Amino acid sequence: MTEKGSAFLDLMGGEVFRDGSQGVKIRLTIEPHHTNPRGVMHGGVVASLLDEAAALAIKELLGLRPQDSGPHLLVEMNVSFLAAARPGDTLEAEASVLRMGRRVAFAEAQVHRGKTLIAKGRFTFVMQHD
Amino acid sequence: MTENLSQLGIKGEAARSPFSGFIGNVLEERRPGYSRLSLKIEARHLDSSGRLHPGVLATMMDSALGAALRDVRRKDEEGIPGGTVAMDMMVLQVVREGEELVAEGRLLRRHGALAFGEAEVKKRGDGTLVACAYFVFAIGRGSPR
Repeated sequence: MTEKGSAFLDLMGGEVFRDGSQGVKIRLTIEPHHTNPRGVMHGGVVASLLDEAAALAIKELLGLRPQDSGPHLLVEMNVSFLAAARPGDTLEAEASVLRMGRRVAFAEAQVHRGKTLIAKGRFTFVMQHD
Repeated sequence: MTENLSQLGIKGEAARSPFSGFIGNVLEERRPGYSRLSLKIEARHLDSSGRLHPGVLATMMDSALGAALRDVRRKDEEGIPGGTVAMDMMVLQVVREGEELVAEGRLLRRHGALAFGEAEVKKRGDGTLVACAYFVFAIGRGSPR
């Protein structure tokens, strides 16, 4: 079952889905327009998938739907790019919340191609409550 | 030598770096170790809260630094696989649809197979700092130069 994510995820061609395990995941098949000058996946694609997955994990914990607006605002992200991906590869991103405080939340996210870890990210969000 | 590239527009950037051109980046200037590109924020660049998606900022800065590093490679390193190894980004300012952003990338040091760089994104006009990042790139052969 797929769900709607952000406009930018939609632009990239990513889809939000649940596979029966806990939480939501993102799937994206790499196409030629996702590449950098060297012909491999652009680092911005990976960073975008990781950030979207982290945001979804926070919303899930708050009982919000993927398409809902959330109180989280990204202030810092750290990404390690561990392996390349090329057109035709299908990637999956998932994330978990490390700690959710009233003012700050921490999350981590991974992108895999099959069993290969492609990238890992750590995120700090400020929480804006009305 | 400085290249003024803005007349090439989005199509020129797509030919250089497909994903950078795909989101609408326009490469404005490039010289060895430096580049500047810009992007007008549209609805397609937003997150579910109606703010700029952080992935767009990461893409702008990664692209700017990638362009800055093009002429840092030696001739014998052409064709060697490379790319971003690590990125640490801070976001300081919310951006909304209709605003125009400018990203600059600068090489800090080339050492062996690695290049170290920094990038920042500011709002066009008032120059408000939106985001900044440090990057490590793999760009060539291993021996220190």
